Amino acid sequence: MDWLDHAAEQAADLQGVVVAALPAGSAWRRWGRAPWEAEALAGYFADMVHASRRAMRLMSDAEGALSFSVDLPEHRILTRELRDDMVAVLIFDLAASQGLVRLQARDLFAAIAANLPDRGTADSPRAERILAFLHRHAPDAHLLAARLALRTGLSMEHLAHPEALDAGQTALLEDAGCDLLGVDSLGLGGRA
Amino acid sequence: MDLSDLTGPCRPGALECLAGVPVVLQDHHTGLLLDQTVDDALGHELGWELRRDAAHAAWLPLLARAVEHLRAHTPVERLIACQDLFWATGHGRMALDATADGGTAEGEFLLHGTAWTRAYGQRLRRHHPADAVAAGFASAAAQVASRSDRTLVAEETACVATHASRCTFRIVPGGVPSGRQGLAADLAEAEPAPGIGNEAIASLHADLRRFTSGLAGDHRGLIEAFDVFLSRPPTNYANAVAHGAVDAIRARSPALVPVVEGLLRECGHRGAFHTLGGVLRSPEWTALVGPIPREREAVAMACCAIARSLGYGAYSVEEIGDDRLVLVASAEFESPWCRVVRADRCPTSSWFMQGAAIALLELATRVDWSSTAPLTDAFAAFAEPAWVARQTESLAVGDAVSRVVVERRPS
Repeated sequence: MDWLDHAAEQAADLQGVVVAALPAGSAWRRWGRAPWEAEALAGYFADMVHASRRAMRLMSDAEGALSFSVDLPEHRILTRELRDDMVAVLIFDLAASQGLVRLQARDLFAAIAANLPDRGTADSPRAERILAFLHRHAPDAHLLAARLALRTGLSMEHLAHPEALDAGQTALLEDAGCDLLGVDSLGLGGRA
Repeated sequence: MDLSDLTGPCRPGALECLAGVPVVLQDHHTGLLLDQTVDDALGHELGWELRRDAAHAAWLPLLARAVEHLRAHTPVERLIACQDLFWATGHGRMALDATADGGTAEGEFLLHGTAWTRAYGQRLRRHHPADAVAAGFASAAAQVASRSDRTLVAEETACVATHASRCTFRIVPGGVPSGRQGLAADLAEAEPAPGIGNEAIASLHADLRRFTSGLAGDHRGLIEAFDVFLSRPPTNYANAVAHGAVDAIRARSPALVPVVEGLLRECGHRGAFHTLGGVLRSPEWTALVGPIPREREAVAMACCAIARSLGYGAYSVEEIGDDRLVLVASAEFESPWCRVVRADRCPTSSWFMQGAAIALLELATRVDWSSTAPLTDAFAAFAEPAWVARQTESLAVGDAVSRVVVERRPS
């Protein structure tokens, strides 16, 4: 049992935790009572952070870490930027008492903040992040690998193991992804 | 324009023809995915050229025959007849001003741009024009109207899919002369192949044909029916661009040929699922035939009758079980072009039929017809490839039928 398992087990109303690296939105740590797709959740919550920050800039010049909660039909989501490159998402049962949730969240955010990785070490390989990003944003996710294969010349087997792609192949993948979405950049940062 | 004088079963053969040229009532899902696959395979510029030139080549014989049939004697009469044919076949509205030296065209509600904008406009930014079919049409119409041997070519200079306020085209001399097409005269005589309930299918088909032959563009020049946009393009557009995409991939990355073929199969899967399912769920079906049948064999027969009336081909179901279907066709729209145009022939290239066979099995065995949820939701459940479709015989290589076997993909 690692530090996250230990902290999460203390929070009776907690349903799940995702800690994601920004800006890419790749999952760094995950914990959950249900078999959620942590990678997809990490991406969507990172998108919410990016969107909230853009909205914040429209409203004020203030800087600082973001923190927000969202109520879904069955869950209460608490999101907090713990560092400018890391965001933690806590998923609670919506029926739980607000006071208890607040207490449990305070302890959990503190535990996560104390265990964050060194800067720049939390991200998955770039090609993996590109594919995860495209799965979230390109239409027809089930056709994505085939479309990228035609555009890049990479085989389906190569695309099934993005962690093994070299820099040239990753650049091809990123160009094809930009072209699919009609954008100049995927906004993942760090591109040479 | 009333198309019913121009449309009818191809003779010989069992496809749908417009002015003696095979056409198919195609949905926008198929059109969008096909265009996208071509661009994925060739890139936007070469993809555009392939699609535009294929459209020009496919429209040219159809328009030439149609203006004769419509007794359009002067160049202006022929231009107007072509414009009318464009909207009547569900491609949008186009105003042409062109001679043998070229000219211009303006489009409104052009099918591909409109469908792309509706399907993806909120999610994707497009930087290249969408209406290659309209561009090919414009140059072919100008050529037919002027009765010139000089080849014309059109470029789309503005497109609503790229956020322009309207679609415009410039038509200039150039381009490549069209090659052979594989038209009605190249079809073999075809009686439907033996299959389950063929007599009932034939009877249903006759009723449905009376309805589908009357489908024509509305005031926008679009045929919005059965939850899809339908259009009636010459079949050889799809045939030429599909083979062009495969040829490009074969030349560049032969190992990826099965990948592009899979995407072409998906065009048929997605298109047939939405169109056949949309017809079954429509008030028109209820009025013409009655409630949707419950038994899988009856659903499969209904789908075959609808497929025949759309011009997919003389489909028959030879065998159907929960996890297996054998679809046969004594005529289907992909094989004539292949047999005539391809020197190397194409034994397993009825990709649309392969995908349609998968759709047919899903519609007959997996869809809950008591649900009122959109078919798009039902289709989402079939997004992951659960089936393998194998073409075991092909009209294109001289077999008596095209035969596709669909089975569950091994886990």
